[in-house]
This record gives sequence, structure tokens and C-alpha cells, in this order.
Amino acid sequence: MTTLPENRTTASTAAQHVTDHNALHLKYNTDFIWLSANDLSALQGTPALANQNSTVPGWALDAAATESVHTVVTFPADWNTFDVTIYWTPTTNPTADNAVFSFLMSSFDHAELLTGYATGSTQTFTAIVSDAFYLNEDILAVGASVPAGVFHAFQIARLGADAADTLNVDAALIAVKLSKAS
Amino acid sequence: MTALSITRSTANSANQHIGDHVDLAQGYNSDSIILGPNKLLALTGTPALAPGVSGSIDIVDRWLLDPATTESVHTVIAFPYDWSTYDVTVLWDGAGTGSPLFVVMRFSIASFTDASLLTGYATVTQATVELDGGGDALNVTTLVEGAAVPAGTLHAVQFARIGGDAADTKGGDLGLAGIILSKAS
Repeated sequence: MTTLPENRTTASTAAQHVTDHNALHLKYNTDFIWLSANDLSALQGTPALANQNSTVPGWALDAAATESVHTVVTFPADWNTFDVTIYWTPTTNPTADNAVFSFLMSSFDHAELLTGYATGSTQTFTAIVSDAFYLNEDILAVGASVPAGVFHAFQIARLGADAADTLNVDAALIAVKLSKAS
Repeated sequence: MTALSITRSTANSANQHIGDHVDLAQGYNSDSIILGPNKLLALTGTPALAPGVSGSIDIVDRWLLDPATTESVHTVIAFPYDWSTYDVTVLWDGAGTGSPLFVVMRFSIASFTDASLLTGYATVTQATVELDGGGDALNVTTLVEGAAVPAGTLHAVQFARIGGDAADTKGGDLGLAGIILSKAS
């Protein structure tokens, strides 16, 4: 444990720089990490980023095959566990309503091989109405442990070919919220 | 002088440092939400995202919004839990063209909670703004002051230039370099 000096007036060392950032973080207490569709990029398949109903950007994820988007994040230092909430909508009127989404994550440290996604959860959600362009807010993971590692790649996929996925139209992923659970 | 009194493990320092930077880059330090050009998507018209050019006066990325018609960009956000009202600051320039000086800007919002996305945008503020400092000077304009945070878990926000408005007299594009939503209360 290192005790850092008090009553400083200049940020002259790396340690102090880190500490000042920490103080900033403690002051503002980040409760969630918000990722709009624009913050994500395509990974599997050929999902398209487009405006949904001229109101929100969203990634259209296929009804017949797995398509996914991803990005990388770091977690605030005071997070122990977190929840994952997704915001999505059918893009046209469906005749069946169940969509299967998965959340996967891989975590990395310095000099570690950037291998594929490892852990996560899969959930089936029922669209709130049998109509297009209704916002669905669903919790994809609850109380997941913040993994060790400097940064974390995470992926949201729609498993369109899964037998439980009966939604017969594209599902547009509008945003993802990672929120502190503990 | 700011007195800091923090005792912490050095083993965690590197992670903390990176984490805090990313918090800021992601736009959530709880007091402001920073929407750079790459966080926005074209909505109305056909605005172009012009990449910055190293070493030039156009060093930052900008959305170019038309002088003759309405063009807009948008995204979705969530407000931090402790915000009651907010301001909107627009970072922009004249994309190389100055006089005449006036542009018409609009900030609008649509809010949702498990509801239909058929609800359209509602205007928060539309104002005529004067370009300061010439066509390539950064302008920092507070377009919205003290607007109430609407109910809802997800909010679509849109910035538009109303180029076809009679009050919008500036020739040439408007260069939108970013939008900052900040906590007012």
C-alpha cells in the first residue's frame, strides 16, 4: 500500500495523475456506462446500422442467423458486479415475438492474447406487442462479476437461428446499458 | 490549493487510470454527456461527416449541414440519475464560410419507456445564432438552458440546422463538431 502525499498543488508525477483522476471518479460516481448503437461495430454476419422509424439509430440483427455487434469498455474501479440492459425493437410487424439475445465478454491484461469471447449469458425475450417500433427494455444479465483485466471486450448477439427465436423479422439493437449492481 | 487525502493500492492504479479516461471518453462523468461527431448518425437530409485533416484548420471531424434545407443528426442517450434539468452546448464553425452570419439551429428530443417509437421528436429549442470569428472559428453556443429532463429510460436527441428558414442567411455549410449535454440541476 502506498500513501500518497496530501495538500499538493501540482500534478507532477504519474502516481499523482492517477490519484487525481481517481478523485474525479469518486466525486462523480459513475453509475452506468451507456452505449448507443453508434458506439458499437459489427462483428458477426452483416448487420446494418440505420435509423429505425426515423427516430433512433439501431443495428438490425437478422431473424435467420446469428449477427452481433461489439465494443470494448473498462469498468469503474468501485464496481464489483454489473447488470446488462438492452434496448431493442422489431423493425417490421412480426407474426411471432420471441427473440434470443446473448451477452459475451472477454477480458484482457497487458501482453495477453486477444482471443475470442468466453463468458456471458443468453436470454429469450418476448416483444412487448406484436408490432414494429415499440421499445423493449430487457435485462440480459444480472449481477455479473466484473472480471479481472485492464479492458473488456463485450458482444451482444441475436441468435436468429436458435429454435427459441421465433421473431420472424429483424430486431434492431438501439442501445446497451452496463449498470453498477454492487 | 486543493487538498487531497487518498490512500490506495498501487496495484490498482493503472486500471483506475484507464478506467477513468474511458468513463470520460464514453461521455459519462455524470456532469456532462459529450457527443462527438462519431457518436451521431445522419437523420434528415444527407449531411456528410467530414473527417479532420491533420495540420489544417479543419483538424476536427465535423458534420456538414446544408445552407438551403433542413439537415440533422441524432443518437440516443440516458440521463444520469441525479439530473433534473440540463443545458445543451453546441460546438460548431462556419465550415470555411462567414458573412452573412446567421444560422437557425434546433435541438429536439424524444423520450421512451417501453413505448412506441412512433412518437416523433419534440422541439426543445429553435434559435437563430450568429457566427462569431469568421468561417473557421470555433463557436461554443449554449442552445438550451435549464430544460427539464423528461420521463423515460431512453432519449433520442437530435440537432438540426434549418437551412431553409428565412432567418438562416449564412451561405455554406455549418460544421458541427460536437454537442455537450450538461447537468444544470
